[in-house]
Amino acid sequence: MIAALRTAAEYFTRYFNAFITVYLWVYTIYLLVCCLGGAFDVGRRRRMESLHNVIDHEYYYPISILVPAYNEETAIVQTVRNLLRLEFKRYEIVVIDDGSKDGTKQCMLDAFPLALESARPIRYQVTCHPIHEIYSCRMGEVLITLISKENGGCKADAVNAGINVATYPYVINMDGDEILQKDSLRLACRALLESSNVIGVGGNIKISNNMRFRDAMPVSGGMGSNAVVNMQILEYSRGFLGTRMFQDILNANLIISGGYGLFKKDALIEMGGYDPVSKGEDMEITVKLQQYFRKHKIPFSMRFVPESICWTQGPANLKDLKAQRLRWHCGLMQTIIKYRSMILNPRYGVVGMFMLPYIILYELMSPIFMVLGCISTALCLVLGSTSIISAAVAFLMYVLLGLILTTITYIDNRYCPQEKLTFREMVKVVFYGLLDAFFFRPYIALVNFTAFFRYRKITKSKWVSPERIKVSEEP
Amino acid sequence: MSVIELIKSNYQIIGICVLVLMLLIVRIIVYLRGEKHERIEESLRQGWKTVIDRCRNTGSYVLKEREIARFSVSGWLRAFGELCETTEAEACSAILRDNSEKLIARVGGRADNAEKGYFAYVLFVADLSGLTEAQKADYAVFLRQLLSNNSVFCRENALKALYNLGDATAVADAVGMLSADARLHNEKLLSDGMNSFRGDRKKLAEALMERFELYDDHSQSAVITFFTVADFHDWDEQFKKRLDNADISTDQRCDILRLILKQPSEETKQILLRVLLDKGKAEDWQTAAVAATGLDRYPNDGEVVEALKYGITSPAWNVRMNCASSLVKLDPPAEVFDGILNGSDAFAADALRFALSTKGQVNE
Repeated sequence: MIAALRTAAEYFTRYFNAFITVYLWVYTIYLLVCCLGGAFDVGRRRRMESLHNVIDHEYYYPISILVPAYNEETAIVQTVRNLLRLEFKRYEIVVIDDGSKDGTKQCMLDAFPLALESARPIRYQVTCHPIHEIYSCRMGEVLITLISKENGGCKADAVNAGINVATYPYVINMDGDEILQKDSLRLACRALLESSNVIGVGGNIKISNNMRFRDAMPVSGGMGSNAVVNMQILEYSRGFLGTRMFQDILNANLIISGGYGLFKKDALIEMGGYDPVSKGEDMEITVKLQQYFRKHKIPFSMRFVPESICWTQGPANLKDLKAQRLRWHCGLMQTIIKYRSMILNPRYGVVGMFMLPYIILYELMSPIFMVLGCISTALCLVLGSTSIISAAVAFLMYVLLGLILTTITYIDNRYCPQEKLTFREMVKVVFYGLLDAFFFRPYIALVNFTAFFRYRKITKSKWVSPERIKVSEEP
Repeated sequence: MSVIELIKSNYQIIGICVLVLMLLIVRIIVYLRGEKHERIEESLRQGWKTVIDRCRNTGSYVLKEREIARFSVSGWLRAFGELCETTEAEACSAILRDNSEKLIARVGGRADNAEKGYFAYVLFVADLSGLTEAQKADYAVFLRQLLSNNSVFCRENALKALYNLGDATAVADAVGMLSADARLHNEKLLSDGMNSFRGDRKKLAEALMERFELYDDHSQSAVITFFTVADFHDWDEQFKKRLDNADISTDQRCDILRLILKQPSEETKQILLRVLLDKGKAEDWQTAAVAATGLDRYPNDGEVVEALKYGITSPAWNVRMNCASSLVKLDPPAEVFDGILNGSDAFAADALRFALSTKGQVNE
């Protein structure tokens, strides 16, 4: 019996190890190509900008900024006030109160001279729960609209309501706790001027928890004292400037973040709006757009503009972080299941043949492989086919690689480039980079692993808003 | 064999790690050198200032060969461009004037796309009023060559420089080149660029109209939008006739309507009425929506009000809303409103109710 188990364990470790070697090979090379491609692209953009090879036109695309809010009384007024500071000629702000249980609506009514618009007809172009009241007012040139609607249980339903009320041809989908940097719209619109085929633009999302702002621009901050936040700062830097830049080069963006995404309204309406069932509505709509435009061979592009920055509050504690990541991983699963027909289908080009299989293997399944890897390593140690020293060396190599990539992307994507990079900050980056490898990433992998077992429960759960704080602002 | 040993035995992976480590080292060096960049840029500016001082003292702005060569090096070129926007602007213009042939040969032959685009930008920011017609023509030829460049930025900078040159024919030809090459350049960039033309805009309009039929639909729309913004109505009759041409796009029809509705006349009124009545309930309703916005400039006689009453029952949201807005602005007798508000079309009533609540101001 023991001999049979031993043989089974040997077979498992042998084949799994062979598989994981290839897996790691592909991953490392892909990451390296992404980082090099991304770094090259960043360098090219900076050079072009320094040589005035940018389209910086006074013309504007009228944009409706949709701010879905559920229990956002702490941050919503600050968010809207910052939106009023945007450097952009024509835009409107549409706040969608999705049946909040707190004083979100009242906060808005107290802060702005909003008046009830009893006669405004609503053009239900995409499905959403009924809209009860619409308030509006003008602050200078900017129209602010507050929609009070029946709770739809998800952000997608609130955004759909916003699409129905938006008056402009482009919409931005963001969160109720965010700060759009003053120049963000102007920079995002460059992509629209560069090509008439652009249907979506994703911006660079950064963590605002440790930052101080003045006039919707960051003035100081970076790595702070909260380890959970610091590790998210490193994670966001890696994600946005590594893989996303590369996906942009291939026009294979599979996610325009729900935290900050600019879309052509017509394209969203043609897709039927956001899917209220999906837990990852941002990925779902992006993949849906990829599927539709590629299937019908309509020229299109979805761009990532790293210069256009939106500041968001990252979960400040492990509980909120866990909830967020469970939701994200279930959303990923939902989207993959829904669009499974695209996988390895040459009709969908690089998305079907490469990006979706990559996401399945390296994002969806990675927690499973991580757990199996731990089991395999433990079995190897028990079977005596490896030593603790070898295991430690391999792990340290993995840590070193991660640390190098993290440091590069952090330096390239510093939160306050006007501030000098100090030795203290570098020490913090290295420290939290190590903490990230030893604690954060295994923890996230474990959380994602549990998502497979909690899929049904999570996909049926309702929209919850994590604990919010007021972002520091200087007068 | 374990994962660990497999990885250990794959020296390539270690190689990749070393490669990434080198990347980090390079990045840190680049960062540290960034501190020096400011000083380098200042020294380049100083280098140009020395040249300018020499030119001032000798009274000749003709550059030496090695100084001409600087125009194909991005750092030197950038430093020169920055000086063009300072108190040295006059001297920079003189350099561009007295070395035009050599500069064109150097940048055209040796520089890459980014530098060519930047040189076009320099020609955009510089004061080129002192150039002779022959020199302007030389630069125009060079800039038109850049229009076939794949980079949209390079093309836009070239166009900006052409607007700055103030040569109407050159701009009109440039638009023709974009059409001939089927290079789609943002329509709004084109029309706004034409509006920023530093020469005689009327002459530009004439030059554009001479070549109008050679342009593609997209460029034609840009020209019409330019006329709308600049309030040029000399060719309105021609455009009105063009509306009968079945081959032109809906977008261009809308642009023509936006142009002609700015000059109210009986003929224009009849066109707007015809469009609204023909297209108000059609699949391609876009022109009707534009026509509806122009009818509020006419007296609220029965003809206009009846057409708007017809339009307000359109299945197209934009037509309904624009008709309602125009109706409210026209302020017809109360029974017109009562008829719609109490009529059988709830959508029309909704549109009118909203227009009344906002006094017809919302017309997005």
